[in-house]
Amino acid sequence: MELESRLTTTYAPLGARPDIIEANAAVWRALGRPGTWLTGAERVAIAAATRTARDCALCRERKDALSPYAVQGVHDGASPLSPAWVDAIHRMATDPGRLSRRIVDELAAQDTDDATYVELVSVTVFTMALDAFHRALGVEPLPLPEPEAGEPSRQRPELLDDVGGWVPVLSTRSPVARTLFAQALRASNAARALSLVPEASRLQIGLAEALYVPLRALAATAVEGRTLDRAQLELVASRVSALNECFY
Amino acid sequence: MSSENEGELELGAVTRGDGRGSGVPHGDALVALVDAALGRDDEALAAARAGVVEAVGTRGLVDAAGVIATFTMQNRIVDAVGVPLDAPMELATRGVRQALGVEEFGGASRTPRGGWILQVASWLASRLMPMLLRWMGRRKPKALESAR
Repeated sequence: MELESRLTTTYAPLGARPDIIEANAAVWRALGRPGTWLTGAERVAIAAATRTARDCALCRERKDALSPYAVQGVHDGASPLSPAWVDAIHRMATDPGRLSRRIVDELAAQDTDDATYVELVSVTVFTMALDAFHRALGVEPLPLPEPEAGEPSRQRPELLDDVGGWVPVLSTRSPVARTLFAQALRASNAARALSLVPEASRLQIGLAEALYVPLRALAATAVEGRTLDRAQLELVASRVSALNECFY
Repeated sequence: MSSENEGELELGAVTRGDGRGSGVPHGDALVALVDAALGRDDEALAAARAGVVEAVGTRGLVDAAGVIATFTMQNRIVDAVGVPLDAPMELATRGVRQALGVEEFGGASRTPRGGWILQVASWLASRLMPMLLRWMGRRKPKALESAR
């Protein structure tokens, strides 16, 4: 409840809706808890490494290089995580448009399987999402949560599909998928991208529904509860994606 | 491309960074906010934020910040797991993607292209999709109808 109180105090003067407070609190609290494949301590360390990436000198040098693998070196900031994990996190954070299958393959060669990778991705992007929200609003970023003790659940979904990506995704025949994507007209590859770790997908959907558009309204030309109209929302979305060089 | 709001939309404005040229109301202020939020100049961000508040109010700023956050997340998710564009969307949006100039992005290579049959299907889809989306947009979700 302390986190919700903090968010309410921060967001209320700006007129933020209660569902934003709820979704952001759910994601931030989950960062410190044991996940499906990562401990709470690992998840918080990933979030910390994500924040360090923004001012990393090696990342800035790589961003300017012709090839993302042309420049070698050590990333800024101490971390208890392996150098390979830190490298993956920093690449995702600072140069996502030039990611390739190599990132998954190199981690696999160091015994990081696909599901662990997906959870690492989820923690990285959730941290960036909330930090971006706060930065755009001009409010202080949230302090990282204290890691909670406990073991990851280590439950891998049984029904998976290959949609042509670098990791499998939850099959639409899966009862879990039917629940996760019940509100969507059709579960796109983007919506299913993290579903190898269903809990990550759940948090992704909750965040996107609160901060962007509910799944059931994706095709609507107007969205209830929003001040900006659909064209304005999509202009912002398109400009962010263009700057991130995201083709999808 | 036209919108239901006013006049024509100029898609290339998205990648050029000229929000005013987009045809979207207060597009200039919104694009300036995005550019500043993704940049490193805190003073420019403060000015852009003030511009959005003046244009669309603080709740509009919250909406814009929410979309910036969502796509900061979404862009990285799809690029980190390498998912290709879904086939129906690929067919329907080829023209839009060319107008936006996004075919040059590295991630474009993940989405396979089809032969001439799919190109014809793409042409048809690009003409039908706007009508379909407008029709779908006019249908209120059942949850909202029952809540009234």
